[in-house]
Amino acid sequence: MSSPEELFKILNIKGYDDLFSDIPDSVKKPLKGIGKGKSEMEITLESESVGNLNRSDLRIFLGLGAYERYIPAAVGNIIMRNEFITAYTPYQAEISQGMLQALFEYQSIICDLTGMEVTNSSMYDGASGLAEAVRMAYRINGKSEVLVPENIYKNHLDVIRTYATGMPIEIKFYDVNHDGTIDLENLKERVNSNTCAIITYNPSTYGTLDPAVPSIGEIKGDALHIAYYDPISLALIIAPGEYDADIAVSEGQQLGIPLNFGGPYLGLFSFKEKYVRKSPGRLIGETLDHNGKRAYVMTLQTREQHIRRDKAMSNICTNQALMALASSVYLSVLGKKGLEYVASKTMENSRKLTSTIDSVHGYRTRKSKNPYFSDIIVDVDSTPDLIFSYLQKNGILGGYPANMAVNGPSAKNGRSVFFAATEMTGEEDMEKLKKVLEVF
Amino acid sequence: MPYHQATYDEKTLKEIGSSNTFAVEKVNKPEIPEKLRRKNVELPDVAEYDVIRHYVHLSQMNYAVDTGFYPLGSCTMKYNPKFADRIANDQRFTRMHPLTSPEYSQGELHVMYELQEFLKASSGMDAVSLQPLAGAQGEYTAMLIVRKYMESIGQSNRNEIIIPDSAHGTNPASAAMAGFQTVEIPSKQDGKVDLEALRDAVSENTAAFMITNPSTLGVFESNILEIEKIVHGAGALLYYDGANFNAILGITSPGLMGFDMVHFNLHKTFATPHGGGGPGAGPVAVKEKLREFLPVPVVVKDGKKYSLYYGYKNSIGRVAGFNGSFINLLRAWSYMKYKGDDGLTENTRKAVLNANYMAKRLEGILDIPAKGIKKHEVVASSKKTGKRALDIAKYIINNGVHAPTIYFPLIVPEALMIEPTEDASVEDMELLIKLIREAVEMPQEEIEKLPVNLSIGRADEVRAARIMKLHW
Ligand SMILES: Cc1ncc(COP(=O)(O)O)c(C=O)c1O
Repeated sequence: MSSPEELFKILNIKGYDDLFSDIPDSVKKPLKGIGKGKSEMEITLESESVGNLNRSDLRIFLGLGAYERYIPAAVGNIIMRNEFITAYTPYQAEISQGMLQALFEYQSIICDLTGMEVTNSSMYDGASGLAEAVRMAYRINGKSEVLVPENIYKNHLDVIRTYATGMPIEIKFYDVNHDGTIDLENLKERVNSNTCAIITYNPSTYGTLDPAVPSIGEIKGDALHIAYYDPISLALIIAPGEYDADIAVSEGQQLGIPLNFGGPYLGLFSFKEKYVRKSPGRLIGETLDHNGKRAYVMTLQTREQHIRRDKAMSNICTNQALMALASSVYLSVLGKKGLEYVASKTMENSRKLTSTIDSVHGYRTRKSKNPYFSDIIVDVDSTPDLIFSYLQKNGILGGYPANMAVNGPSAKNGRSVFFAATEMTGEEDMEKLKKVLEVF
Repeated sequence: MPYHQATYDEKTLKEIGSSNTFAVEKVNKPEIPEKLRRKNVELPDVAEYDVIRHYVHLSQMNYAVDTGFYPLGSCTMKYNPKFADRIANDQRFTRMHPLTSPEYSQGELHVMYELQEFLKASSGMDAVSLQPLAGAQGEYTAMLIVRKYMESIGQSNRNEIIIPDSAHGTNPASAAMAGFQTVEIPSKQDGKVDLEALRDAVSENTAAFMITNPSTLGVFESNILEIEKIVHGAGALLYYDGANFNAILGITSPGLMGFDMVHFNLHKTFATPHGGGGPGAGPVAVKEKLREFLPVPVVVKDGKKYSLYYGYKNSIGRVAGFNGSFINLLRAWSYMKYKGDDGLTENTRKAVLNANYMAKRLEGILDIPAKGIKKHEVVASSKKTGKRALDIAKYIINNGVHAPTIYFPLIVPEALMIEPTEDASVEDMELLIKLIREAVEMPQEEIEKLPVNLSIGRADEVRAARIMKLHW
């Protein structure tokens, strides 16, 4: 009893046109440009042939914020569950406890991983998370200068600049050493009473672990320390909470999310509890139901757009909940031992990749007394652009031109390229890379 | 039998005692300088079988479109066809690094290019950026474009954005983030723009007017052409919040109505699953004069080859690290091709038909402040019944249907915003009507005790805000 005609009768109308009689005829026009509808079979087959236009078989030696990592099958299994993927924001807490608990656990796991006090229930991605951290720092101390390393990722710098539009924020660069680590003396000189925040990277954007990052607390004065970290590295490497960072941000793609050509990814966003009322995004809190049973709800919503409107701490409504779930499944399936394995194997492979590359004439990995974690900067004799396209032609994704990836002095990255290793980088792959590089 | 949600006294992962079972090969611990070494890291220590059971239990305590009717107003909770899941998980698309050269990622760029074209065709705009990662980020992107455009024509004095009081909270929040003053204008009782208030509000300082049409009360702004004249006459831009696009797609378009810019919520109109809160995607489309302000890169086509174009000199810059929410773009692309021009138009017709059916059947039960034909949703008020919208919502969820959006728009007291979408049967809608009627009739002291059929009883939100327990 639900054909449109029957409903027309109930509504006492002749047909669909009557439902749109409130729209002036002068602005009506049939849709054209998408084409005729297709069957499920047709669109599936078409998508496969479109997919075949991609070289999805390249051996990947590239990171720079997006890494190929092994994803346990359990992750896909859980995030594809209909009850999670086809739900929305848990506005009615009692019928959506599952997602609420999962997000509360996500916040908790990321707090444990980073050593930070509070983690929100996700930002859009690492880059916009970093930009929101700058805005948050400004809300906290009202100061104007944000210090960033001169070799900051270009896409991060772009997004920070975009998000700083209309705010009295000035971005200033501090020097880095030849291996990309912070020049602490230089940074110290630049910190002054107008410094709003200091952004650091560990590993540095050149890929080296940076022993200066844990010392920022000693020189930051009244500025906030915004620490950008690598979540995989935290199995082995000192965490932002252990060196008293004020805000810790990262890209969570590595935690169980495929490369996806750039998205959807996951913005990991943590901070000290005293700043919670200035923080962006949604927060899940634990409480009780009226029988005294443990329950979870969205909380501290008076910071958010639907209540505070133009005075809100951010405009975020839809976030990355499902990706947050993916990262929680990833981290709980791996556990501490699994994550330590992934981090250790990554470093071992980076070391091997370093020697492989160094063994080829015309390629020199940048020398450093600090180990590389995943990304590796390599100085080259030939033209970076040509290396990058030559390698892809030969089935390898790597050798990305440094001056396209990172800001900064061309003396430090004008004739350099990036490679990266993860736990998935096999010795055979490295052999192949060596052979291809040798004949270039 | 009354509805009963699965109820587990589910422990947290931290409380589950089985030990980790993830098998790894042996690897040497790398040498790490003392100063950089992690002292101790705590992670859940749970066997994989228990991780899976845990999340399956949680999923069974979570309502979703695939478990039942989800008439959450303003969110367009339509069915998400499953073929798109398979495409979205195809390694040919997912195993692509975002920095791959265009030459080797032609498939991805093909999808993005076609989607840009589809969004242009359906919105009547001239240029598209797929980069914004959700509707709100699309709004923010658009507001930055407004700002830069005004600067470019020497009118940076235009620092005000006019927004009706019926607008979604993301509108004023996005405008403020872009550094604008927001000027709120009252709406008429039926939710329509008060033309006098608009005329009074516009000035040489107005940069843009942000509205959605149909309004958040679900009725079409029939004065839209007059509004367009007032706004453009004052030298300002007209912005379309595309959250309500499911009401007009295929019938009219923002372009035809005179808008200069629009954001889409692909997770609403184009059926990408909402993911329990996200990810979404919020592309932005603009008229020609605003093209060069869009975020870069955009995808262009030369003959048969696709490439990335960075050349817009006045670009507002990047809003996302990489290429937007690509897998959601892919899902929307496949959905649009699947439906085609006619199918998408049919969606709109059915969604509107269903909303009008709901409105008709609510007569005599709840008040509907906006009279006349509805578009894709209907906003009702429970004020006169003496029942709070919150209590009605709890009655509905207690009986196995997701509640409508409540307390939005803010201008309707005790608001219940109902959006059935095209994917609802008369049975679904009749069940909701029945539940609303029963809720209204239920004695107050009984309804306040609900829900009782769900995994928890009514949650204490005040306590949550007070104790602020945000992790285990
Ligand atoms: C009317 C309206 N505008 C804007 C938005 C924001 O979109 P998003 O949640 O994708 O950021 C919403 C979302 O619910 C909405 O309903």
